[in-house]
Amino acid sequence: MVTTPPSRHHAPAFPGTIAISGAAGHFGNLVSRRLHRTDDVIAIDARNFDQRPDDVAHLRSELRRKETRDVFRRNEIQAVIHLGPHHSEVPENRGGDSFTSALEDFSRLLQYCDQYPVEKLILLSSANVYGARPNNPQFLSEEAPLLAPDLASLRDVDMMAQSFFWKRPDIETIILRPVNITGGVGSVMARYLRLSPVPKLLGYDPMIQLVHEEDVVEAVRLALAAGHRGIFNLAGPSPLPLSKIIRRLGRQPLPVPQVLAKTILGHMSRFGKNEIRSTYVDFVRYVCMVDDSRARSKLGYKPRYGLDETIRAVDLWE
Amino acid sequence: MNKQNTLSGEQLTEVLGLLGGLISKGSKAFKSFREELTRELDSKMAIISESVGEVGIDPFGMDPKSVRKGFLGAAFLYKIYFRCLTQGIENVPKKGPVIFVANHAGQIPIDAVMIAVAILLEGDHPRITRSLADRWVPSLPFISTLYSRVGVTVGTTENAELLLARNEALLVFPEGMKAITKTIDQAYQLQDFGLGFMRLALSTKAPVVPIAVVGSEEQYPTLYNLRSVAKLLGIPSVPIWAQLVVPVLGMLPLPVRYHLKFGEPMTFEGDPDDEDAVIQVQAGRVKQRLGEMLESLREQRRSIFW
Repeated sequence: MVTTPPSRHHAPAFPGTIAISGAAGHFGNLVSRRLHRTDDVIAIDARNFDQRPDDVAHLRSELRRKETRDVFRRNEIQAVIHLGPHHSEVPENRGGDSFTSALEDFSRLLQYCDQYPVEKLILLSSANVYGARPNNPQFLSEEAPLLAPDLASLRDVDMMAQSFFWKRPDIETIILRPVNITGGVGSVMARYLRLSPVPKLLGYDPMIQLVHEEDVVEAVRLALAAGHRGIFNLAGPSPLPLSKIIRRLGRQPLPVPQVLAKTILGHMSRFGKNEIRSTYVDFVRYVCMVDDSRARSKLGYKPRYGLDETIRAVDLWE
Repeated sequence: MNKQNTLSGEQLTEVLGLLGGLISKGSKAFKSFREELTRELDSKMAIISESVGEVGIDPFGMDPKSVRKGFLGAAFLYKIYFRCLTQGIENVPKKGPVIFVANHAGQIPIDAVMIAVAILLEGDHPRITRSLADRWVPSLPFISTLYSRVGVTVGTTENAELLLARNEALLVFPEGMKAITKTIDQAYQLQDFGLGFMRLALSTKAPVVPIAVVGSEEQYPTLYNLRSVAKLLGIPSVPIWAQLVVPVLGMLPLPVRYHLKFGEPMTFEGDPDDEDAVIQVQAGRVKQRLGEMLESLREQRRSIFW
């Protein structure tokens, strides 16, 4: 249960202007709304951003375009939040071009942070970068190697941010690695759980962690406070076996033999707007859970949403 | 002659009646045994206050409901099939982290199941035994799910440390794979101990309780291990069991009697990251104690089957 609504009237999280890249997506909208009353927010996104609050400036441009550099030149941007391409509702499955452009965009953003007096960089990565593997420990720490074979762009963006720690130790770089986000956001797990019936691998039932989007937004806000840097895993309420999550959603699991799983998942998800990469199968086969004790102790992160609310948030999607 | 050899109708009815009586008696006995066992199990499970949280399943995927279901069958094996005799159950700590160290035998871990049943049913302070599985187990369908629900976890250092930090009771077989590829002539010869359990005991300060298991070596007497075939298939062992001369039933373990002996808790102190040679000495103390316990158990044993 959420007992208190997230407070909006607190001291500015960060003195100065905050630039949010990828702000026009559902999650970007949530982050902008959380921050705009206390901070100046500039949204950078090539997409339409009609829902934005009135006091949020919107630069409709790609990160690598000259206009974006101008924004950094003309404004005293002190914090940059990069929401990454994978948490928007646009499916990842766009082939090689989107892979290179994700990396090019992010490397350009790192250049701006390097050249202009940016003090804080927050990257929203994902716990999926660790990869779902049979020999994973039950809870991965931030030191675990990034071994997701099929999520190269996600992994490489995370690693580019890690090398930026060394390049600019004076900039407070933060990498957030949340587990599967539920809510209106288009995380792959949320899109998978929206299938009906939900195809589930016959004989496998891994433990799954979910986190509510509002809890992740709150973590982003907490990470803006001065003094924090480093990598932080973010998990939500207690984990549950996949089959129980599907049942709690009131959906039917459809047991599928492993050999057919990729095909079936591919076909099911091609109907409607619900595109899911078939390589995602490993995430519903093996455990990929994280230990978020560092975020809890250092950032003061504590998920507000309980298990039922977090699970039911899967259906918040329009 | 013809008359003498044929079963008369009367005799047939008599035999059938006898058989029927036996079956109904047997099934009644089994029913009452099952009821009694269920009651015992439920009373023990009620004592265990597992921290399974709001969801009824612990973070490792252990579900007390599944444990109860699994133990119903396991307790049948323990009480009837292997007629297990257990000594020293009072050496199991009432609560807090503990590492059980046992000798290992057999490709199917019946010894682990017997130990878990003893720890749950025999003492006044029942506990759920957690154990560690090989790292490829999660890639097996069904088995991966079953193991996870009854409290078996992937054998990584992180998992073992986390389980002990959560005050769980952890069962390990430090001989590892070497123990289950032995043939019958090497029965009860303790193989070299891995050092992981000792480093774990040092880092978590958990006491070590040695458990000697006798009977496990004879359940599937391995006459020969087809090492070359095993290598070809990429599995640890292709055993030729003695009972395989009997078709179908030969897949079952022999109904040997199991003997378990729990030793006194041993505590260790030192640097968990010390050199192998130093850790080896401390692991050697456990191995020696376990060897002595095995010896005395085998001396007490009159026969393999009773």
